[in-house]
Amino acid sequence: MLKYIGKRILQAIPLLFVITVICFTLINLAPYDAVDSIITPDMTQEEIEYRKEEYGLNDPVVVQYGKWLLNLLQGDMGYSLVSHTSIKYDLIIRIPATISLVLPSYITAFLLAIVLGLVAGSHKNRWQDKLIDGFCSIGIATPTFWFAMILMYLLGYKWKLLPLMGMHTIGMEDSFADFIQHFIMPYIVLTIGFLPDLTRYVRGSTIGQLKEDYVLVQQAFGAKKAEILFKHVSKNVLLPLITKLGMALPMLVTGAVITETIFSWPGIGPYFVKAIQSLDYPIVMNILVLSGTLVILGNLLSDILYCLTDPRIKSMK
Amino acid sequence: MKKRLLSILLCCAMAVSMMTGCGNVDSEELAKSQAAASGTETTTAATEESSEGEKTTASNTFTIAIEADTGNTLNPFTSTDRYGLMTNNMLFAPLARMNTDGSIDYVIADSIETSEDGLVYTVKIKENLKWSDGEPLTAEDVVYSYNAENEAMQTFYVNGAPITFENPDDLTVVITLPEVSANAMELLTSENFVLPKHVFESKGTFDINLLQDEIVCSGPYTLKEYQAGQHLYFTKNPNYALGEAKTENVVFKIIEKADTASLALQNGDINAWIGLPDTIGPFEDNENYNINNYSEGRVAYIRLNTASENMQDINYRKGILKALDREEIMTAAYTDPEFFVLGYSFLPKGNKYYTEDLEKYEQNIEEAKELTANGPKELTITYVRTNATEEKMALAIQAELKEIGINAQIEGVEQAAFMDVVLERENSPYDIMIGGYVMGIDPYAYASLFVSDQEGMMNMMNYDNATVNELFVKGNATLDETERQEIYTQAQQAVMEDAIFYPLGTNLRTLVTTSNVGGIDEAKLVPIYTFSDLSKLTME
Repeated sequence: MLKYIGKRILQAIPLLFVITVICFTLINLAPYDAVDSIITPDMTQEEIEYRKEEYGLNDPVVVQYGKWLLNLLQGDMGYSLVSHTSIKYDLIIRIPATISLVLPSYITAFLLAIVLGLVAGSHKNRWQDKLIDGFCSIGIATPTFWFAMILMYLLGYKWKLLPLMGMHTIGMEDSFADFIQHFIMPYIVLTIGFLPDLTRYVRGSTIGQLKEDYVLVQQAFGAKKAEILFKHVSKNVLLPLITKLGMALPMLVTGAVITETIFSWPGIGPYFVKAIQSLDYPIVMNILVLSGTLVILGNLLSDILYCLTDPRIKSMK
Repeated sequence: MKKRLLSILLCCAMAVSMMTGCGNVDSEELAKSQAAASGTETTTAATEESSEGEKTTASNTFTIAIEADTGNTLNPFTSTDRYGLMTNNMLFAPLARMNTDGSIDYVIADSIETSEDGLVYTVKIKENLKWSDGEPLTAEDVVYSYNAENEAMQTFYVNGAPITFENPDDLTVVITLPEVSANAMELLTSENFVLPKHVFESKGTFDINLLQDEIVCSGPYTLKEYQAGQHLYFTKNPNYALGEAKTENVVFKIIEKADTASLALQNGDINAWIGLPDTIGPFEDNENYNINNYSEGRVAYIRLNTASENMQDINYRKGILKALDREEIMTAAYTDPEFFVLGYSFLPKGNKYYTEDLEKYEQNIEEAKELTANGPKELTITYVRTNATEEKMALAIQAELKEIGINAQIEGVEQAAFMDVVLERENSPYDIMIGGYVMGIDPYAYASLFVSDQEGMMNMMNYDNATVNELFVKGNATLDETERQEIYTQAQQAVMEDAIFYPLGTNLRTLVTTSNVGGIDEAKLVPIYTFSDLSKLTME
């Protein structure tokens, strides 16, 4: 087993390298320079040239890539081309901010989805199912920004129950209670955002499992419905969810772009989008590599977990 | 059993990997505590609720919404974005500030005198000035800052030759120009800040890390705390050259969404916000808010792109321009005449040298049809995609061109792509561009838009007109007011004759403030910085 894990990790390294090459090539194929996004009409040609030189934009692409990769390997993420700010400091602050929002939301959605999905799947076409499935349809069809604005308007403005936006009140950065107050609204929005998709997944999976022979056998043995559902069916339903969980790992970085923008949550989403718009390639590259790593890591972990939890797959090896 | 153990371990590993980022919270805390290293107790900009959505913000803090993060590094020389420049203007004082009418407000300087030949400027520095750390601020700092900026950016040059700076004593700076330049005063005062020599000389870089560095300031405020993606928190600098600020703290709160910012203002979380005409509804005719429309001297324009095949014939270009109606286009974009002033020249209306004695290309459909009869019938209009007002302009232009039988495609592009399009000199796929600029006060500041024969001039409008080139140079080489007036009138006329550049007018920027914000007239609403000097603002 350890050998298998080791092999998978070794496979991941060249894959990461390939990701960086592809990202860098694609960004350099864009017919513009980052410097184009900061030119103002009152700049002189010298000023523009000075900036290009300073950013190393006059170097050949291979040199630019080499420099960047070398720095990254040494843990130096470099500087934003547009604002010339240190990317490392930005990420150190923004990634935890995003994770502190996405992780609880995803876990909540995940757990809720399992319960709701099982209930809906086992009551197929009855009122419980119609209610839950209807909710999912509405959830999928509702744009996040709209729901966020409605929530903000009602809870933040109209009833003044919660602060409108941001992560902390100024000067109360250490207060957990203050954080939670700011956290609730974006948390609800994200949870509702993640929920429908996961619920439908569990529901579908449950319906599939209920048709299996082992359910029939249990019924023949006289097992109670709840017993079949939670003791036998749920185990099998949870198996494919491991894959879902692994695949969700990159969401920790890029999972809440819209919600973060609307609530002025200082996360990675708006930062990333802005960097793409202004071709700020050091930022784009760093975040791509980061989320690329998480994709690979997520896959790796779910593969291994799968292999450990499902005896059928183990025996296939 | 062994395998179960392994599976548990792996589950833990997965959980841990998901938490890795959370582990960094410590570093965040660290960064924060470093930024707040001054150790002073943080005053909370506590906001209290009251009935009917009316709001009282703590009277010692003024909070203004800004649309984008400044980033964690500030460079007083290379900052180009509005919010970076606003931060510079908070932390560092200039020698003087030039008002849009050309008058001067001295800050660090006590007086600036010009020699008769216009070549030597003698600056007297106010006595007993200090940096925020208590060190004396002298002429040496001024000379150091200007020389450093000149070295890095070549900012202070006249026709390719550098301006020199000397300090014969601690209170005097002598500035020598290589030749007469009428806009020297503006060049020397606008966007140029005095930096502490005792800090930067040993530092070796002008990058300031907002998270870690303790910033030594000369401006009205010092930075108390920067929180990435959240806010910049300033507190007054007791050593500011024009006296202590009237409001204790200022917060630049980063709110990217206009809708969120609007709600925040209605909720009283912020005191000021720049709104677009179609978003300020809730604040109009509302006694809790004041709406201040002011000009940034921004000129919105249409450019017929001579880098495109379709736009080679001057008569065709004239025909296109005669199909347009300024007022209709500006109304489409800014909804109501209270938000814009129509303009007919490359200078913003209100500029001392502005003239309307020129070819205006007033709308004349018949003539337009005639002039464009033999020209292309399919054109492309481009603008910066994210600019909603320019999109509305494009739609209005499209409709007007339809009137004369021309089909126009609209294609918005990203900012970076737009600059590339603007500077494209051949085979451009775009025929008509919509843009806007804020250049400055002296007409020579506009030279880089049209002058084609001088190195360093961007020639954004792609002109090739010897008369225009000559007039701009002539206008800057004389100090005689009447002569300059005459020269720049001719320049404005000459620019219009090529039928390439079509000014639409000046749009006004709308600042909405809560009614407890006072002293806006004293703090002066200006281009870029919004407030010229926030130290004059009061909170009641």
